[in-house]
Amino acid sequence: MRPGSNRELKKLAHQALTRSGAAALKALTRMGFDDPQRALQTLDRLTGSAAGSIALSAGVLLAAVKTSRPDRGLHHLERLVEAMDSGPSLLACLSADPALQQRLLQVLSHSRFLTEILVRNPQFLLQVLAETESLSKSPDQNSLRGRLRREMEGASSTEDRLNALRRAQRRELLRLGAVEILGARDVEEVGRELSNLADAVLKVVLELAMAEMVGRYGRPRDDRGRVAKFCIVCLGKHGGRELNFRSDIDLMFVYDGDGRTRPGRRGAGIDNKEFFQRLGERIIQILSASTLEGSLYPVDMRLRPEGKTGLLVRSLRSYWIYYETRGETWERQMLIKARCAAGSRPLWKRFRDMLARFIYPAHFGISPRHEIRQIKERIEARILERPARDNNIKLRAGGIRDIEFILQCLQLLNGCVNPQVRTQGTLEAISALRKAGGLASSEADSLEAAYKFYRRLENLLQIEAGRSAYALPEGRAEQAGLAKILGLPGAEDLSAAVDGHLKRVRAIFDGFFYGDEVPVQGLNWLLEAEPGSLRARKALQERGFADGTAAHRNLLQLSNAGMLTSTARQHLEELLTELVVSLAAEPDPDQGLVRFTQMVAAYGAPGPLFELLHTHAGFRRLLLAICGTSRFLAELIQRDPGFLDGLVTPDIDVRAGERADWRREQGAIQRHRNQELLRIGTDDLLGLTSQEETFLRLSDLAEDILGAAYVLCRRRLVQRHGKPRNRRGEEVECVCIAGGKFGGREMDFGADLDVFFVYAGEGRTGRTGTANSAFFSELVQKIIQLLQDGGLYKVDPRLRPEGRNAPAALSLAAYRRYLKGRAATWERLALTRARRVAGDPELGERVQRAIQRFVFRAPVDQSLADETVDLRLRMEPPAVRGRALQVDIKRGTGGIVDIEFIAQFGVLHWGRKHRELRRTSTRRILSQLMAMQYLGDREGRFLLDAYERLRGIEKCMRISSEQAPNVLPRGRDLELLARAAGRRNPGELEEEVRTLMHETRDIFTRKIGDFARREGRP
Amino acid sequence: MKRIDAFIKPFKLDEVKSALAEVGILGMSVSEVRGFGRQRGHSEIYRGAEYKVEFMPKIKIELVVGDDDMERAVDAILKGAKSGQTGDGKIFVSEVVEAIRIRTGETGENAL
Repeated sequence: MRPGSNRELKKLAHQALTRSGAAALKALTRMGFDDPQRALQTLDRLTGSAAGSIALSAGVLLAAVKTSRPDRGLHHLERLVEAMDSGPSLLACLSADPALQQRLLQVLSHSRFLTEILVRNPQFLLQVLAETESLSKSPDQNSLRGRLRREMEGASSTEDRLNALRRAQRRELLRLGAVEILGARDVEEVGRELSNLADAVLKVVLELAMAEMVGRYGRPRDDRGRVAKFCIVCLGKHGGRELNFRSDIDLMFVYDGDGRTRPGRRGAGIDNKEFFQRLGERIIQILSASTLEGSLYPVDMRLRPEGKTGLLVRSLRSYWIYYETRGETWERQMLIKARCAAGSRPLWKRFRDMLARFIYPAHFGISPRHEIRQIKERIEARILERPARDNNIKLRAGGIRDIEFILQCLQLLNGCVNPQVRTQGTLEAISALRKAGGLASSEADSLEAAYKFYRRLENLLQIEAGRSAYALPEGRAEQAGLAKILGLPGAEDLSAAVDGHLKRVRAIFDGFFYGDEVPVQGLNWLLEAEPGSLRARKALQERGFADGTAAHRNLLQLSNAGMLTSTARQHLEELLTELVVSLAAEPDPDQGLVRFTQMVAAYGAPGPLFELLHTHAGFRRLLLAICGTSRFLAELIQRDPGFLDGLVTPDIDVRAGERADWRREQGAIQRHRNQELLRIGTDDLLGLTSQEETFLRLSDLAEDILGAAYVLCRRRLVQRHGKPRNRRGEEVECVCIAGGKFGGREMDFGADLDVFFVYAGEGRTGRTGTANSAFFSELVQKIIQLLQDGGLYKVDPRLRPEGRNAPAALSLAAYRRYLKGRAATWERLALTRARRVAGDPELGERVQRAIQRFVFRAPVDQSLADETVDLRLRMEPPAVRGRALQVDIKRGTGGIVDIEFIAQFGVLHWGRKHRELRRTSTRRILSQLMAMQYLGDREGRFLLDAYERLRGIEKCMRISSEQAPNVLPRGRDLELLARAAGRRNPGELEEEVRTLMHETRDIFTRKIGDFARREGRP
Repeated sequence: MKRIDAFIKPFKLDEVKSALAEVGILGMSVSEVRGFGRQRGHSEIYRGAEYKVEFMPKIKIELVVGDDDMERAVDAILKGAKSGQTGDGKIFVSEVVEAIRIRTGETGENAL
């Protein structure tokens, strides 16, 4: 254990310096030196004969043990002293300034690179490390550049001036390196300063190189005599103002203005393109030349169009053409960080605006999420090939690159509509995306913490070695040293911190790029396996297919369908694993695969279709959800694959001219209905709409279709018979009234339309003199036929006045007479949900008033309650010895109808007095009854919940097959229903339904059945 | 001579082929394509359950016909490919300067 207290350290230092042999060595070891023998020798050489050598040595020892690597600190100090003429006086000077001594040893012990700088330039010690101000405050860009220029002024030759620049750059690196080691400032600030330094150097270098070139070739001008422009664009970390110590800088050169140079006296000048080419070459040469003073920056030009083989310098226009025609996703990613480092600002602004259109398009052909994921997979595959255990915090899973890729992908996706997220810096991007809602707060926090941590670590690694480095050191001593600088107790804590960040970042990365997909082993071999293969059957059954052999046969059929081209086959192979895994997650994988196979055959062009399914996750989810859940939606598409196109084509793509009015023609009405039904079904399946919304949309669609059918049929009949008129010669209107779930706007898939028709009065039609009664009867027949012919809706005639065998349409007078005289009591209940859905609004009002008078004509009494219960019991399916044979969740004891009756009974009872209760939607009535305290809180909430759940289960049955009965299925079908409804198993579903229905019937009995006993108030 | 390029919905291929056969046109080359074109709309928003697709797969039919057959061929394609829904596709007609049958050296409409 290393003793911690100052007093103890002082005591040990004293022992080490005053005692001899083993005792001294032991004391040094206890202080924390790994090689005490060598440390003693070094100290001897350092302070040997100087006066007060013991005090000097003790000071050095105490400063050294507080650093990350004490042994190396001493060793590097010796090198520095040797390099200086006045070594001993340095030590004296340090002992007089313990704080400086401590800073110096911290820098020396951590970094070979900074030690080399100091050894070569001992004067920096006082210039940089002695000035605490320069460590805590940064010079701004302009003064930094001014200082670099001044330092170059004295030199006579170009080479001397460049050496002066290199020295100045070294001094700044030393300053920032010390800042980083001492932790004096935030890693973000250090990155910004390093980038500022690089900018300043680039500006100075550009001035210098430009002056040389202009001196040699004359000034480049365009055809109109204006000076041609040039700028240096920086990318990568430099572009993001987050440069580190020893990485390459990524650059691109751009110029604008074709023409020639105008030399002073001699020669014809050269082409601008050639001028800038030579300028670019010279800039790179200056930056990367390796001299005794070191090199300025290693330059990487490979991000330019066409990489290594591309032109070094391009015109603005040439960049534009390249990116418009050949630009790829990785180029969009790297251009996010593009920034002007030096040269013409106006040119840069034009370049930037041009780039923005490429980087942030309104639409991507292939999702960048998909492409970026693939790029990352390739990088990681390469890392895995390396033999050594990998510690690369840049490239490995969860590392810096993961963070950058998540952010870049989000920026690409959101940059078009949300320009605020177009930021160059990584930390800026995190905060912009957090604000824009692209990242959850917790995600943003994790990414930010990880990024700062990685970058500090990376900086320290690079300062240590003086070269680009991303791998954690293997040795424990090195790790412990790093941990100490980072303020962590030991090497294990460093590994734990790294692992923690890697894990958190990777989880966000996986969530973003893979969503709920679990990366799975490739299943492509299934396409090679023989039909009937046991291995194939087993693999498919393990994943959730009930009949593995049949599923395998279907997959093989998919690969043989229509003789796939080799490209199509390749796309199928790419898709296959996702296909199997995604289908397995659907309620009915087996039928899903069958339907999928049929759909592909019906659609045609399997190659592009597979490709689209593979690259477009949203489309894949959509199609597989339809196949794996709904027979009738899948059949709609199979019968007319054009519906699929209509479903997925963005609305903005449908130009006004193409949106023909579907109401004009029977075929178009039918197509419109099926298209909309598919849309509603799909949104419901994908969870894009709530159950209530789905019912509402289904009801509104029915109303739309019925309205269109009404207008179309009426127009046709009028053409034949002339307009129906009354005795005064006025046109006679008609209206369609809906009841049931249609009236309540809570229709399910495949529901019938409960409607009846009323026309204004008797008379005859103009042309043929047909009686109005006959005209409207025929109209109703035609409407019903139109709806039924296309398989659109069945019309339920039971709501008709006088029952199913009565005339199809009734005059208002006859209807009033009916309501007054012959209507059954229970009809008051049913008509609470009546509303006009087609025909003349004004007549609708009149009919509605008649209905309201009828419904609320008398207070609720015993006979109504009795009749309600009686009616309800008659609706129940037959039971054997008091036990239902099947569970009918709609009409069965305690089923959905019970809840509807409770609501309607409530309307009858209190709606007389309170108009706000005269609603048609069961949910709203129940809520209103609760709000008015006619329904207890607990009961009300239970009924609302039971209604929601039972109707949810009913919807799952209906969306699977439109014609489904309301009876819970058995066996495999019940299992499929449970999966579709999101219940764990069939038993759970059945139990839930039984409990809900049992309690619902209890409430029904209390509310309606026991009405008489309580005389009114439940 | 005219060259006709038609981009149609894949499931309309059979109808187009039979419509062309009815007017005596049997030879054509057919390929599966995916389009990329004008950039508009915004189809992918972060974690939204968007399923919109800018370009659905299409079939491309290419044929070269004599000047006199051009109108019939175009009508046949229209008849077979039209559904009245969005994205029914497009037909392009262009001039063909020369046709040569490699084996015999015949030129012009004789080479078709």
